[in-house]
Amino acid sequence: MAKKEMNKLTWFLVPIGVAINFIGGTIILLLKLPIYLDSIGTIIVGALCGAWPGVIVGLISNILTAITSPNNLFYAPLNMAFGVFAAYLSKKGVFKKFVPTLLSSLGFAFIGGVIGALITWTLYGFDFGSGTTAIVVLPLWKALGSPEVQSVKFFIQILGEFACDLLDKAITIIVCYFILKAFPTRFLSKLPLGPVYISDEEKALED
Amino acid sequence: MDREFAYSYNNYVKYGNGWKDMNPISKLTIAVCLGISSCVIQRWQFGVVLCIIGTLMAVYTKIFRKYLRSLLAIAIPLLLLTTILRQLQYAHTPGFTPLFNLLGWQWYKEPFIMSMNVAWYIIGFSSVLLNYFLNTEMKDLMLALENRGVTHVASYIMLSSMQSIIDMKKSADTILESQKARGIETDGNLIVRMKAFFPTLGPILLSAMSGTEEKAIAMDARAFSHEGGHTYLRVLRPVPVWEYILDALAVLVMIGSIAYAVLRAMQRI
Repeated sequence: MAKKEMNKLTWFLVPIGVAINFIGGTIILLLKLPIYLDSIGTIIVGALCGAWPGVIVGLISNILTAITSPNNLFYAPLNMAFGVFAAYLSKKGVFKKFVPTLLSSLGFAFIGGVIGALITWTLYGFDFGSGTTAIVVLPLWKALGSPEVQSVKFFIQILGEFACDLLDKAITIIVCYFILKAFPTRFLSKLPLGPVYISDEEKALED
Repeated sequence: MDREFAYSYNNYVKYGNGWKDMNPISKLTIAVCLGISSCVIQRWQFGVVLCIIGTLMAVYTKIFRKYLRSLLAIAIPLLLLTTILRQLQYAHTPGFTPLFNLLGWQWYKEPFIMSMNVAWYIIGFSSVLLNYFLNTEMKDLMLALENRGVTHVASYIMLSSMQSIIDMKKSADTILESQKARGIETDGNLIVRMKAFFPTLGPILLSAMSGTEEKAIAMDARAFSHEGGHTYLRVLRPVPVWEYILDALAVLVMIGSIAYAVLRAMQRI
């Protein structure tokens, strides 16, 4: 019964996670900041509820953005992978301390780089994408003497995606860290991965 | 009058338009099959044809303004950036045919066709999908899926997500205004705007998250977890045979496109 209750709360958190993904982007737009912050909800739900809820938040977020911009559907696997990675790191206790949390942004940016590059590469006919990454990718390619070897070009695309994603993911992760810290113990204890964030003193008090 | 109102819930959902009135799953099948065809063919001609069909459908279904706004937001940057990128990328590649000279900048034919193929297949894909999303109420799609056996939890998650976005946007505006009123600067240089971000986002997220528990209890009190059959205030009309035929045609187009793409790839090898 207790497990069922927990699952139910998870289902109710998924829509909130999706809305957070949107709101991060909206506030960024209102404040005219040069980043995306569109995966805060995915990472928080992944970290608190596990991989599957994180995947669902990522998928639904991209389906809903596809209503006005259908090519976002192609990038759904990226957001879904963030959910899985967040759950994995959460289980390992990475988000409990600031420095490991900040370092984990390298992992998120790496996932963003590899999966993002794979999607962009396929989408643009196995060539460079024309998004913001082109600002990094094209000069880098030219600087290396414009090699026509596909594997080298793909590697440059990965580097470009990684570089563009790093700042975004670092800020996303810092936001997530402070939000996870701010949750009350009473709420955390009802979520599948919530107990990870309850300190030993608080656990002892509960006992 | 009251009886008429009550019985109106037994009527099929109708919008008075052939495409809009189609079953959401039939429409989805057509949109997805045509979208996939555009992706596998990757030819500008096919993308342009899809875009023309999509635009005519948008006029017919009276969503033209919304459709055009979204399509242009995708198409213009995509066409411009992809064309410029490919021209810059292959500017000094030997063997390409000169196309024209733009104020001392030589353009080539092959990279131009490459960029058109990429941009137009994505525009074609976006056109059909936009037509689908703008002509389909999400609640109808979820109802159609529930009728096919998908759990009601999926409907709740999808529809609640849409509602949560609207609610949270309102609360974001309120909080941003409140923070401005208490002296937080939201205009200025990057660091000033960055500093305004955290006190805006924090309260929204925490209040939304902590409200979840009350929502869960409220939904349970309304039999959300009841395992038995559900009742609905909307009824979708039974799927007519011609919709199945249209779906089958769309699937055939998709299979044909995949076969064409495979044959082309084999010829290249």
